[in-house]
Amino acid sequence: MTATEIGLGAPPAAWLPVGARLMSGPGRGAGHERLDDHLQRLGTRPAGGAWLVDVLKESGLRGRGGAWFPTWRKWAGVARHSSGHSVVVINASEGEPLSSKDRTLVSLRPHLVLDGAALAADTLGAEQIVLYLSRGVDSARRTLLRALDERRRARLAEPPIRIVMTPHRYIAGESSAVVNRLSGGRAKPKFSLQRSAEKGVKDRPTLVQNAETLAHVGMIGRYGGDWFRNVGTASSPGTTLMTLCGNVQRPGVYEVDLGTRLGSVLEAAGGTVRPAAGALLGGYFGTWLAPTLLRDVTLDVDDLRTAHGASLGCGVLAVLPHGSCGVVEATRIFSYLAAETAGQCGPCVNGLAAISEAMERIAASVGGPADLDRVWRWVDMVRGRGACRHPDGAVGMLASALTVFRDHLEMHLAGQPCNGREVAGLPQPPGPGQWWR
Amino acid sequence: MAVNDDIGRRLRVNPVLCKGYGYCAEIVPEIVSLDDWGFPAVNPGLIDDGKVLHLAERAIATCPRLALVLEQVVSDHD
Amino acid sequence: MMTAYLLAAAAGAANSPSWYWYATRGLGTSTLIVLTGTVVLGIVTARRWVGETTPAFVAADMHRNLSLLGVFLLAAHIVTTLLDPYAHIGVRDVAIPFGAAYRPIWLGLGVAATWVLIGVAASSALRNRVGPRVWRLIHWAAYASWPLAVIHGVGTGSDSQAPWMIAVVTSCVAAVLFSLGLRLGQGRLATLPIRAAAAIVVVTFIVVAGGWAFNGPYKPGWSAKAGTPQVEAATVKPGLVHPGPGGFSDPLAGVLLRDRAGHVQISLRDMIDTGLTIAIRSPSLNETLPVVTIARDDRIICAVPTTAGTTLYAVCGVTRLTIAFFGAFSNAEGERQITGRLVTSGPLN
Repeated sequence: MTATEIGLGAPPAAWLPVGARLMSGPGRGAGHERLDDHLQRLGTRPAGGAWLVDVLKESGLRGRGGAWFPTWRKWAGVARHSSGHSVVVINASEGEPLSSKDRTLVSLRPHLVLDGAALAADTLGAEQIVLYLSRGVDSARRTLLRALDERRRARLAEPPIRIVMTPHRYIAGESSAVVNRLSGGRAKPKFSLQRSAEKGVKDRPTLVQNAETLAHVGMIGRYGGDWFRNVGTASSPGTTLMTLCGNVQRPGVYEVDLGTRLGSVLEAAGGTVRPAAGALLGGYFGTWLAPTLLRDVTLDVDDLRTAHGASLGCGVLAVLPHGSCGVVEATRIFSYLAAETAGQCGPCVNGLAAISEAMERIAASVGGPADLDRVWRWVDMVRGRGACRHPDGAVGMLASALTVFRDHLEMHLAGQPCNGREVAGLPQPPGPGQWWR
Repeated sequence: MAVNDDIGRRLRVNPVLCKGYGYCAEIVPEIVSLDDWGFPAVNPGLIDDGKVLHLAERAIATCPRLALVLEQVVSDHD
Repeated sequence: MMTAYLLAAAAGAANSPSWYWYATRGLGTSTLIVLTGTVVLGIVTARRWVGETTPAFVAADMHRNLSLLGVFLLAAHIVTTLLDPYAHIGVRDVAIPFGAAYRPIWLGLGVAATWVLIGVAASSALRNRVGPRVWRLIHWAAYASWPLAVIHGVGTGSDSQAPWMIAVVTSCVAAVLFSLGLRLGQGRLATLPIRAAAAIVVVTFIVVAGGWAFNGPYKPGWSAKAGTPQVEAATVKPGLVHPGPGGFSDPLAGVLLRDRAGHVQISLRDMIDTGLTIAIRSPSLNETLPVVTIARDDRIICAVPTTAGTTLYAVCGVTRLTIAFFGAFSNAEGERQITGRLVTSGPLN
């Protein structure tokens, strides 16, 4: 068995420490692991440095924020421009409504995440570490303040760490939005010809890294790249945190060995409540999977991409119950994403609004083939034309739904009523956000 | 060790600044066309024609929002 | 002592034009018209007014070209003002507002407008260095330069009360108001508060400025109120004061202006026959004697050479006249009141 449950809202489950890495140690009920226990369990961390970039390369660690970009390359990019004034940002904003892995992780294992950040600070010559946290996760903030206090009292050799709160918006976690917010502006993406690795927070080289990725770094720094590769596949080594929700018996956060079959992960969550009608893998920017794939798809980055055009994204697996409609669900999610743009770029604001309107008609079974043609036209028109990848993610998710649920789509276009609108498929997207600071 | 090679230049639009005036599409339609909402879609390829480059520079100077910029494209190897 | 200074010519309100004085007024008016055109095009550029055959970027191009023309006209206007000897406007007055001897407040507005335009021109020339945000901020300030220029023109301009000038100013104001109205009337719902606020500001400004204009420059007596250094305006009595073929002897009062180079301009008014004004100017390059200009109600009767000294002798038509000055002349630069007496052998009409 290769999946360990650490769910927050789920009923207590048997612990399966075998294969658990990030979540090895005290169970969920113990709250946040104190510094002493953390150090006793894992030992002190080494000092970071250029050596760590090589070890990360060996380990094959990829970013867990959604892009799955090789972490060593990201660090090398910052190191190239660094001169002692870099900034390390722990991105724990988790704007994805379906995901709760990051807040769970920082609540239970804050010191692992902070160790990873300290290792990054050593390696990249950073003089400050920022913990970027979303408002509305107040419990995580309190936990982190206590953890930071423990570290200060222990006088650990690391740069000062401060917490910066950000509004709980989908786009607030986007890299350039993070940099913008930390430079005193609003949490909105910014267009720049230079990447934040070169010019980020207050024009300094900046590393914006997902909290889970840094937790893995915290362990790789201690145990090495080979150890990390002990589980997982060649292209996707190690474990990853996934949030399972929707039509599953025990929704929650699970630590999973990469390379596992999706079916095993679902089993760890107790299987589905009703027969599955499909699933969304990777969050709101993810890919839809037909029900037949839910058993045998392997959680391997290359495999997912080449065979299914999919990505693990931020590790969300949202399963649809039988009776719900993928077209309706995708339209709901798309409309949320259209409402959650930063409102800055013409093609995104206008394009997503136009597509959303057409899809609402189609989902209500009053749209026709002309509406669908327009949707496809606009999907192509909108890709790559924003200051960030928000429009790309949104239309990617929609395009995959229109392909995977083609038969449902035909029914809608033919004007046949669909009771997918009555069935509660996935958790409803939240209402529109308000502030940008 | 990173080696940067300057391959050439291309026109980029800052979509945050752009408000859809559309002058660029009139001045250098060779590489800029307008979408359904009047916003520019710029050809992402390198500009190899001197005449087109000159027109692109004119478009950059005419944009009232200063939303256009000529990007030096480099290829970096690690 | 009398030979130590050159008598320069000046006139009363509208006489004795130095070429520069006319030039600067003409250039100032042209600058206002071109600046108005620039502002209108700038406003129009913000909306998409695509003609059938004209590409929209033409408006933006024309705006830039016209603004360059405006800058040149403005420069010429400033240079001719500096060169003109009448109003004694020096480099310092052109650079620092509100310090001039001639209509200080209204001239100062022109100086302020010029500085704003210099800022706009500089930021546009350096737009790559300055960046989009700063450039846009400075360009918004350009909106301020236009009303400053209009008020400057109406307040300073010698031609303000002339019908053709009123027509020019009215057209310029109307053009800008029209374009502003169109621009503020269009837009998304989200921008409605800003547009409404801007409209209120504009209307308030028009009301205040209009009230000022019709109670100030467009009423008689403005030139004195504006601070024109000239003879105090006395009310002109109707009818001939000295009818008959005989000569007369009247007291004179006026102003002597001496500039840094020692040039002196004198303008006097007959205190009895108050429609009569006398101006004396120094010889120009191809003259040897100072020139006295006699005018009645701003209509020139004669402009003839005169002798130099504390008493001047001249012949105007068939009338011989002498002008005597009282009091001692100092060599100090500046403006002082002087008095004298005019004695004629016959009428001056």
